[in-house]
Amino acid sequence: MSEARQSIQHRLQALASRERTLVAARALLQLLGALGLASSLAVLAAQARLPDALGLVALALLFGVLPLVALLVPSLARLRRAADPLRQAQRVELMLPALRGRLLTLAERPEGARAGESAALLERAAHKAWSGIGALQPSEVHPLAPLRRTGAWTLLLLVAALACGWVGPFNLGTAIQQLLRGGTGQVLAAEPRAEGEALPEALLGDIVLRYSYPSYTGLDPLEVPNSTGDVHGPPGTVVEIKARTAVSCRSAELHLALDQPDRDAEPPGTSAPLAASATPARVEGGRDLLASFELSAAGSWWFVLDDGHGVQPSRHHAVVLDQDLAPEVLLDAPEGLVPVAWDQPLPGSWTARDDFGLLRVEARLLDADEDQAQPLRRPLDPVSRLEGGLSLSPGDLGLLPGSEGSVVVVAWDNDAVSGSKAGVSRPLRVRVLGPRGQSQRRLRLIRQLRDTLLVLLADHLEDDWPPGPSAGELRAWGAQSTRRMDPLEELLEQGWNGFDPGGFEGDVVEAVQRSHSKLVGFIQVLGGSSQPVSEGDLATTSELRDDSIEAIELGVLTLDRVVQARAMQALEEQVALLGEEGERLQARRDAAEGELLARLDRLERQLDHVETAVDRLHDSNLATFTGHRLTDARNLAATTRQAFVEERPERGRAYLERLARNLQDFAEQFEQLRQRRQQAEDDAADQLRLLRDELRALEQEQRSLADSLLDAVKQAGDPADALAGRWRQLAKRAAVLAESLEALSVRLEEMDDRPVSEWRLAQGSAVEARGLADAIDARDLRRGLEAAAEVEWDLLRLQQTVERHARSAAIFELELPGQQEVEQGLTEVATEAQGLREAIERLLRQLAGEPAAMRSATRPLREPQAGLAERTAAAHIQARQLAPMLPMQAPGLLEGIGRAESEMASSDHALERGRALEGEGAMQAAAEGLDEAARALEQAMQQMKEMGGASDGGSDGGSDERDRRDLPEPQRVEIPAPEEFSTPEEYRRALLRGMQGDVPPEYEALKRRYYEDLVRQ
Amino acid sequence: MAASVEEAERCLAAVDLPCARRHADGLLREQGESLDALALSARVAFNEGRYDQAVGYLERVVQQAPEHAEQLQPTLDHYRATQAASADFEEVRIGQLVLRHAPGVDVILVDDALEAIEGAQLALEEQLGSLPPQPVLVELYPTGGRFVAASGLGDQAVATTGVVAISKWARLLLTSPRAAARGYSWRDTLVHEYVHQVVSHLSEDKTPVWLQEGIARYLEASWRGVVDPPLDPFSQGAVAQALAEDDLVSFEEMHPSFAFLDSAQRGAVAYAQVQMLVATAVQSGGPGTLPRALEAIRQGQQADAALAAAAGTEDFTALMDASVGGLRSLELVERKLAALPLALDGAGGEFAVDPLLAERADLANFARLGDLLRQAERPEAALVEYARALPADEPASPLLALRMAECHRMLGDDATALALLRRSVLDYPSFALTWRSLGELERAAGRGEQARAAFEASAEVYPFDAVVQGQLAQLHRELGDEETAQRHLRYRSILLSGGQELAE
Repeated sequence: MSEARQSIQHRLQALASRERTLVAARALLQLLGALGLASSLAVLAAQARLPDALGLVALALLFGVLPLVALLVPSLARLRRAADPLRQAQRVELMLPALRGRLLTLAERPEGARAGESAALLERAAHKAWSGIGALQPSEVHPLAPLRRTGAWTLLLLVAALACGWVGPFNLGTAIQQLLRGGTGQVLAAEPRAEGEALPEALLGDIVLRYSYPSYTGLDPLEVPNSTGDVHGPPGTVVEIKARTAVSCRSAELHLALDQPDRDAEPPGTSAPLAASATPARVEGGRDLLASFELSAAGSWWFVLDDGHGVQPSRHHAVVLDQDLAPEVLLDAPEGLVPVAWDQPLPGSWTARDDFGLLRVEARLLDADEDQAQPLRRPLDPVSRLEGGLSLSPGDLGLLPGSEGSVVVVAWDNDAVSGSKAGVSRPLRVRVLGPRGQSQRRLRLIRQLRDTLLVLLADHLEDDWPPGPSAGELRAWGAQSTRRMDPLEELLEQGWNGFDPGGFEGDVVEAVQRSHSKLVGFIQVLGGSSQPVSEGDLATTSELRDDSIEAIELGVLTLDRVVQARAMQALEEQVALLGEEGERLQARRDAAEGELLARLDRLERQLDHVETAVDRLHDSNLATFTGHRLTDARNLAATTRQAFVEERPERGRAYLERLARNLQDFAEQFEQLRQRRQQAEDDAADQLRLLRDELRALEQEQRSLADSLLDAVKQAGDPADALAGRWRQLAKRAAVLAESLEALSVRLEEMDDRPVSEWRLAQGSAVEARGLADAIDARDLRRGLEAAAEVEWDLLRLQQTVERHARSAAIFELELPGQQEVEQGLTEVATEAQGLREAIERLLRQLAGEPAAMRSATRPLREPQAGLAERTAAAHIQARQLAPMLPMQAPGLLEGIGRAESEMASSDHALERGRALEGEGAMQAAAEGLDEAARALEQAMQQMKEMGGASDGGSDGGSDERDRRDLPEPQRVEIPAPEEFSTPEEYRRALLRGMQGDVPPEYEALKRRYYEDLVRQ
Repeated sequence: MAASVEEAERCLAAVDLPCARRHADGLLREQGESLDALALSARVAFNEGRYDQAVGYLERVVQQAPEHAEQLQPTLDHYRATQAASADFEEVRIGQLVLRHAPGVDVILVDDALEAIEGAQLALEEQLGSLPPQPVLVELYPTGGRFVAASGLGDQAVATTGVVAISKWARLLLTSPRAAARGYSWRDTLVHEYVHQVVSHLSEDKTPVWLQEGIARYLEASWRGVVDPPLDPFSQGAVAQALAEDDLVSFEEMHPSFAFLDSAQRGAVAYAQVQMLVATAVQSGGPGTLPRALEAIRQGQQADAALAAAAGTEDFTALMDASVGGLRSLELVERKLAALPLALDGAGGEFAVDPLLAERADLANFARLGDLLRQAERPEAALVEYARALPADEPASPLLALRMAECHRMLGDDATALALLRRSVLDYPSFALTWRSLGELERAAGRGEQARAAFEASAEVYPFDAVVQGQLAQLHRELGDEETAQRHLRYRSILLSGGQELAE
């Protein structure tokens, strides 16, 4: 093939290739355009709410068929044509007419001249055609213009699609979703329509809900953008709806279909009748809708739009009512039937909670009317949570002794919309005890307390002591000892209000717990685990253990006395009944045999009661005696019965008479015994009263004598004022020293990394210093001097110890905390102690040199002082005799008298030497001791009366009963509720006053926390 | 001989009731129902124990002489009280014994009372010469209350002095040991009172208290063949202390009754002194000393002189010196012991029968704690408390020893329990419960003879323990004494049944 002809073939192929490329590019652009068009159409279809069945079809057409057609239908034919060389040759011939068909000829003969044709001519034509088309570029044959046009259209369609999504309520995605939602139409179709007609739905978007809650809920308004449209809220909530429509409308209405209010109780989904309503909505800008409604029931809402051509409802949105539930009330109280005294507070505590607020909490009987409820709390402002104790008694609720009832706590909420609703706790079932039942219950608890303490005592007594030589072993023992207290704690918890914490049993428990705490507290601060315990520490531990055991022992005895007194009383009552039975038997001696045999049966049962009663008594002497009498009675009853059975009625009646006499005789003897015991108790009570009066008289006389001494000193012309001033100065210095040492001791205890031994030494010094202050107060200079020397010595030891510890720490390159502070503090108190001792010595020297005139003034007072001392000694003897019968042996009684005796001896010593002020101080201290003893005795007497009350079955109307009536009723201390004060500030002030009350040091932190919690309420 | 009130009085003083009866009946015959005749008849009937008659006679006196009603009222009240107190009594007459007792279990005392009275009569006849002519009338009151009513002693007096028996109105009035929780040595007491009656008979009631008590003490155990019984440990301790402190009881202190002495210790010293005085006199004067002395007293001689004369000593002072010398020569146990208190009718509380715990409330508290722990089955802890109840300078009191022994038994330590009880019965031999526990331990250890002795000692003080009677029946049977075994079985049966079948 010639070169020209070859070039022409290449050129024709190049033209075909370009055309194919252009066709392909155009096809792609058509595809894009078709997609844009499809998108636009889809958005429009979505907005047009096509019938549900058409949605998918439309999608298929738009995004399946249309793009395919656009891509393939024109392009396939063009591509096929573009591959034909003749088409290319024709396109060139059309552009270059000068070729005069030569190029077509050559295109038709790609293999050369046909048979019979001239090859040379064909070559010539090839040269001629090539010269014509050699300069022609393919782009001239196939320009880009059509492609550009297609691109412009494509772009236009894509922009249109975007515009549809942007402008309309749907974008492409939502439109596709809309078209794909085959179920939507079905649901809506199922929903009831107010109009009852199926209309095409108007489209809503950008729904914003704003909730304004009712004021009683205390909730802030809430705005929910991009809401689904579903509304949730409590009744009374005002809901504002903002939404945008897909198409403009002229007017709109908000339609509500809500459950009937009186059918609120029906569960959702049931066929509750609906109340439909419509209110105009505000239309802004043709498409923004605003409307509001108040939540009152569940149901649905929607808009109905009017675009001038007809109305169109929007989709329905749910209205869900968040019910303001009734308060929840929890009662923490014993399960089952609980025995409660008629006039004692009910057991347990309650907690009430509400969604929005509580108006009041009250208690009432389960089956009682609301107006019989008794208030428990009524807060100043509604709060969502309240709690408290059941401070009411069964009597307050109208229950009578002997009755049973169920008590509930009722809390009322502050629902101002649908009315206050009540929440009710579970019932507390109570059996109301009268005085006797109450007494029995208390007695049972006292017996349990006694038995619990008894086990505790047995455990202590059976321990090996000491448990071992090391602190670790002592600590392990202490831990075990603490575990032993658990049953006591459990009992106290179980016993709730059966125990009176202010009564003797409260004292018993407190004494046991306090002594135990002291013991364990001391053991805890002993040295390292493997270190042997020093002799001193072991002695102290042993003393504390003995104190603890003694507290338990006294507690057991005190409680046992009550138990025994009640057992005796019960026995007396039973025996008295036996005597009455004897009287009846005697009176009915001639009754029919049947009646007599029935009476004998009853007697047998009565004898059983007596036997049971005597078993509870710890008095084998009386039990033996009673046992004999019961045996006699039983035997006589059996013989009597036998005689009747053997049809010897006269003999039976004779036995019966003897039996009746025996029973009466027994009852009389028992009554005599009771009177004798009563007499003994009265005598003892008289003795106690006499002792108390004597102690008070001694105290008064001792104080008078002290005054007389001062008068005598003045008359003797002594510069008493100056001396008294020095005394006062000394006393002040001693008190300051004691306080300083106590503060130092506390500080050392706080420094965790300092050795414990320092703290213990400081504590010992503080105790000595307090003794020094007491001695000075008592004008006992000798004792004061001794104590001052002890303090000095203790402080010296402490200083040396502190220095040693500092040296040891330095070896290990350690620094003990507060070293400088401790050393400085020690130096100051040591200097003060030394100064105080020297001052005492000076005063002693001065007093020793008092003039003879002073001795002549003081010595006459020795005789009355001796008289008082003698009487005090006699009182001491009597107190020792009486103490074992007093609750807990009247702590302080013997100690107080002993101190008074000692001080009286000091006073005598001082009077003899003419040391007036020293004598006066001792006299005052003696009077204080007597006062302490008298107070201890008075308290014990009060407790004895109380114990009598605890052991009293309620039937006794004797003198004791009258005495008990004179006693104030034990008052339970209640924390006042805030609402009992007119303002919260008053309440807080009252609490702060309460905070100032004294409690044991170990409870100080607890008290503070407690009050702080209350203040925060 | 003409009947006269004076003669009748003499007869009554001499405890010669037939004589008094003759005069009373004679007066009634001679004077009809004169005031004297009625009054004497009332007294005689009262002495004879015929209370219905006594009350009837006295009521007629009051009717006839209302002006004396006020004066007679206390006597009439006492007669009526005695009548009421003994209204249901049953009477047993065996030999020279007339025993009246309440129906029921007190019947088991009859045999033992008879044994004591018969034994005493033999001994007293030998020691004193003669006895009252009529049978011995013993009234056994079932309770302290009834004894108080019949004895005319005040309630308080009986409570404070611990009197459980008196010899008066020709009768022996005795409280049943059943009324005392731990019992008491009732047969020695019965004979003691009988000796008083015999001495009154022989001296026409002219013997002073100190000699009455001396002879009664000297002869109270004579029924069991023991004359001048040894002092009990408590008395020994008291005497030893008195001798050491040279603080013997004077005769003035003994008048009018030993019951008015300051304390049980002083009473024990006084009894020991007069017993030693009588023993010294008899030792000095030989057999017949006491009859001679009593006869001289009857004839109006002063008792001290009569006794000294009968004893053949220079004077009474010499006799006294000799008797004090005798006391000093005794080997006394110088242990401080407390006197066993007597609690009647269940009075006094749990520790009323314990000599120490009854007096020491502080120690009783520890004992009570021990009891509570023992009942809670914590014997080890209980022993700690009991140990604290021990007095510093005295041995364990009987109740304490008993309970400590029980704890040791609970812990399986019978040996310690046994040792404790053996020690305790030495110190307090009249404590029935200790003997009973000791008997149980001895029996458990297979020592039948020791067990029998212990149970018998228990039954001697307190025969109303059915367990003890049952044990005695078994032991006697094992030891081959079937007759005694049967007797104890019978007692046991009576105690369990209430004794009603015997009352038929």
